[in-house]
Amino acid sequence: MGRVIGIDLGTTYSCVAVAERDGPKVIPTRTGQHTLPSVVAVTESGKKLVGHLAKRQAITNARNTIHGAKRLIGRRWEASEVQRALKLASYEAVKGPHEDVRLVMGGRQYALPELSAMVLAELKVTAEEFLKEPVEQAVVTVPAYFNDNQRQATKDAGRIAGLDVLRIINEPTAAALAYGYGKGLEQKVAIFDLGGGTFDISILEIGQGVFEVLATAGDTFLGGEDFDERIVDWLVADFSAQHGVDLRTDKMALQRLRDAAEKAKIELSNLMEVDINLPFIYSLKKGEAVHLQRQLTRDKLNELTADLVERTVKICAQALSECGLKTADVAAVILVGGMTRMPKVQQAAQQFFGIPPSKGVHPDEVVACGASIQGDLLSSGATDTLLLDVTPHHLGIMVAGGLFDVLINKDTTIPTSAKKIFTTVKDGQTQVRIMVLQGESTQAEENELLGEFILDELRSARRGEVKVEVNFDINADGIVSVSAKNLETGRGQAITVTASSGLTEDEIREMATRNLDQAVAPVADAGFAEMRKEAEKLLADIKQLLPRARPVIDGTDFGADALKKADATMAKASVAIAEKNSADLNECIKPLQRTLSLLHNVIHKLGS
Amino acid sequence: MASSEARALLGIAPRLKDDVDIRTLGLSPHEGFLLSQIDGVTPADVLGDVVAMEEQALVAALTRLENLGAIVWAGARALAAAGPGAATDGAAADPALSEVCDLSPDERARILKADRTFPTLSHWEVLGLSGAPQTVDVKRAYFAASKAYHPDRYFGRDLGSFRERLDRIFRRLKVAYDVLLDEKQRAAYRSKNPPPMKPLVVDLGFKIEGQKPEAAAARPETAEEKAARLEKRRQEIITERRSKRLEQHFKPKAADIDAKSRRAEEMYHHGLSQLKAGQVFAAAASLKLAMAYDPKNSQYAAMFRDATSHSQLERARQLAEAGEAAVAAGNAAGAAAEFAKAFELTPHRVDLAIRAAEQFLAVGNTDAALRYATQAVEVAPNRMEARLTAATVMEKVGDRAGALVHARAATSLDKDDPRAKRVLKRLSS
Ligand SMILES: Nc1ncnc2c1ncn2[C@@H]1O[C@H](COP(=O)(O)OP(=O)(O)O)[C@@H](O)[C@H]1O
Ligand SMILES: [Mg+2]
Repeated sequence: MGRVIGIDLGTTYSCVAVAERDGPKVIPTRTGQHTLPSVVAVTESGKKLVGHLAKRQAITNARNTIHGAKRLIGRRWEASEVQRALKLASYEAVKGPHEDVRLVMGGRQYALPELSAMVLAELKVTAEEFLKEPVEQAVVTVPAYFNDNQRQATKDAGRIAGLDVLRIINEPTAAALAYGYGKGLEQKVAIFDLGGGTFDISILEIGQGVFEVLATAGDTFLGGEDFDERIVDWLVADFSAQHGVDLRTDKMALQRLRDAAEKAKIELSNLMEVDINLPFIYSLKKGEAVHLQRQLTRDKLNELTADLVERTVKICAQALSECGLKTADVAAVILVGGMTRMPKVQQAAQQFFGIPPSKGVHPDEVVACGASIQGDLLSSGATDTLLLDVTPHHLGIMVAGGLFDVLINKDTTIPTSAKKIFTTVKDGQTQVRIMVLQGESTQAEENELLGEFILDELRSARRGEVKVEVNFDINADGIVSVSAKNLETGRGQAITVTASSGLTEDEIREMATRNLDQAVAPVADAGFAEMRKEAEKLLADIKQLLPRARPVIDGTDFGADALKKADATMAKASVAIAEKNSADLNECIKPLQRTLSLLHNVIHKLGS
Repeated sequence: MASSEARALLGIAPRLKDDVDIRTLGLSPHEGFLLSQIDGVTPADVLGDVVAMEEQALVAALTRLENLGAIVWAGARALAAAGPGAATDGAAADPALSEVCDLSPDERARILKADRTFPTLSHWEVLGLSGAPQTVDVKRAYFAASKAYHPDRYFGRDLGSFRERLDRIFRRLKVAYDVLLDEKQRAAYRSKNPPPMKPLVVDLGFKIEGQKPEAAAARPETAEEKAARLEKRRQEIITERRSKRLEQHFKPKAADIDAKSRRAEEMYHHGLSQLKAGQVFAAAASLKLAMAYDPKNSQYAAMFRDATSHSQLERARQLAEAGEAAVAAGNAAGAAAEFAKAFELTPHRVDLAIRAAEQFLAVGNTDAALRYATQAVEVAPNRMEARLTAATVMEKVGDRAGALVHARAATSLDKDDPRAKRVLKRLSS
């Protein structure tokens, strides 16, 4: 049987790794990076793009580019998280046939597992090219707080991508495994994961090769994008004060602002101050272009985002108290996620736990590495290492008054089971409806519904007389089974709660075949060819516009500088094409796009 | 049940049936004694050692007891289900062994054994714990057991009915772990179900790391290992001696006495002579039987109580001895545990509490040290040593005020003791 790969399917970036004899190894993407943007797009010509290629054309093709699909996967259309996320989205969304969410690209609707599948399929191909053998099995990670429906949807995404997902494991657990595997540690560790969209903290205990999750906590709306948004707010407010214009009303400008904000934030991890330059960000009515130029210091960024950092610390304290530990009990802090490169975040973690974070753990790669280790452990029948994972949320049923009655608590090691006796609430009641829920709220309706069934043919009696026993069972794969038994007759009813990804079995199968049809054997050079085509088109367009725009822009400092840079990039791109150097070429694409959009703006202004 | 099947159950603990009046059964003293030792926890082969029965005799006795309806075998359902004609060699009788699935015979046997024995075992025993395990020991044991029985170990294999068994085994482990991990719950459980003195003889299918397996390589023995070896030998000697004594007193009598009261009387006199000979454990067992045959006899009951307290004293003495042996061997942790248990049996023995506190302090378990030191003072507030120990322990945990109180009390109890003076000086500086 082939190898098992480990995939970190991130909100903003994904990563794939494989366990080699001397430890896990990250598989570079086709353009040579260690992570792949979790972005998919459909071009005007109807071509599907994934990863870097998709991310690069996001500004000019925002309507048909989707990032952050993970925020929506496995959620119902009505969910407040969905509505909130869709408000900010640049693409169109519709309600699917099963109360699920469908997103539109290139005029076609895509279910979310289908979109994630595009990223997974790309990673699968990457791995196959690297290993030079077919890859069919994977361990995929999800945030610890993902509920059953979200996990199931991620599993389905794997199937659509042609991957048999052996196990869904929690990102922090994977990180801990990568950190502690084979080291013979006996200690408690904290995994501090601040990614693009979410924050996750897990406390684990390691001993004798066993990794036991003690507690998990997190915030699904606290991540790098929130930091970016703070910078955008700051820029927008300033711009509006100066020019009386709200840049948020212009989708293209907003996308450029967000990109610039993220870039500035990332650069401030190394520098003390950065310049944010967005030429021709807006055209005033008089036809005069306005540029945005500001300096952002690290201190200012820290000030703008102080409360966000503070929130991560609060959640850490919560996780510790859930498992009854003090910060002094934690022997190592492992930082995961791109955002933990921000010095202020590192400082906050260090200050809270009182120890410097562990070195030698790569925040972008550690999760995929851990997943690949788990894949290897499971498939090889290893006996020296074991992950003891936990239930991420309370599990229970709805009881009278719309309340949530918990049978299995959050953070219970699986496999596990529990039973409880319930009774009728009305005189003459002959059936009970068992609604299986997952979540933290005491109100049933605020939790996730995993499934429901009815136990009928109860004896008609006074309320409280007939007793029904409800049994919950979660196996090692995290699959929940629920049964109910009439204690008078012994008659029972049971369901295996198949969490719903929002897709039917038939739909998944159909999508999988469709995906297979389209994924005609990729050539090793597909990445380069693709990029070359794009670069050549950009170069041609620029060359065409340049003669008209040059005299106009040359007049300003801004423009002169931009032109110089554009010339240099064009030269570099041509060399890269000639030398078939995909890494170099990759670096040129974004600047070329920027140049082109700048020229478009100028020409647009000239025309009007 | 065929005796060969009974033999297969030797690794399993028989349990007394609840509603049986054993006086009506007409047991031989041997059988009676055997019955008196059945506690639902001790596996049959260990019982054999305890009552000094040869395997053949033991199997015969157990078979008879089962046929009489006096005992049941937990997990024996599987055997019964096999029905007549099933393979006769122990677990081989289980149809699951020939089930079509992806497990080796060894793996099957191990899982079946655990599945069958776990329901009869205490929380300590399912985790392979003995002595006075601390939180870290419980954790180690659970991790070791999880590695052996978590279903993931058999991932991707067709497990047939074994999947359910593994789930059940793991859950049983988890229940034990949850109770024993928590210090409060552990103490509460211990007070009702004391942990076994030595590791269970049943092979649970996993090894707890950190608790060294018996010296495999030819390297110098560590102090811990030496202590363990000595202790093991000591236990063996005790068992040997005990079985010799039992043999003397339980030579089957030719006369078959029917009258229960006479039987009771016989057991009673047995007990008395054993008691005189200092064989307190055997005496307690005999008297228990006497009581069972004639529960209304208050004299028997009084004597039984007496013997029990004697046997407890004797047990405490042995434990204390083992503790001293452990101290000599440099195994403070082991010693602390022995002294602690000895003190629990004889709560008036302040010296045991002091010894326990000293040894716990030596291994850095300050919580336990403090507990025993405080108890020592409670038992004997006017014993200089008790006060001194309390002062020392409290000083260690940073309770200077408390330490000072006890140090003062110690010096006032014995003005000349140099240790007390030293401590007091240190504290008041
Ligand atoms: N050097 C850096 N400094 C600060 N933030 C960074 C840095 N590198 C990446 N990031 C941010 O990290 C986030 C992505 O983290 P990642 O762990 O890949 O997220 P996810 O797992 O949610 O996809 C983005 O918001 C990105 O801007
Ligand atoms: Mg991540």
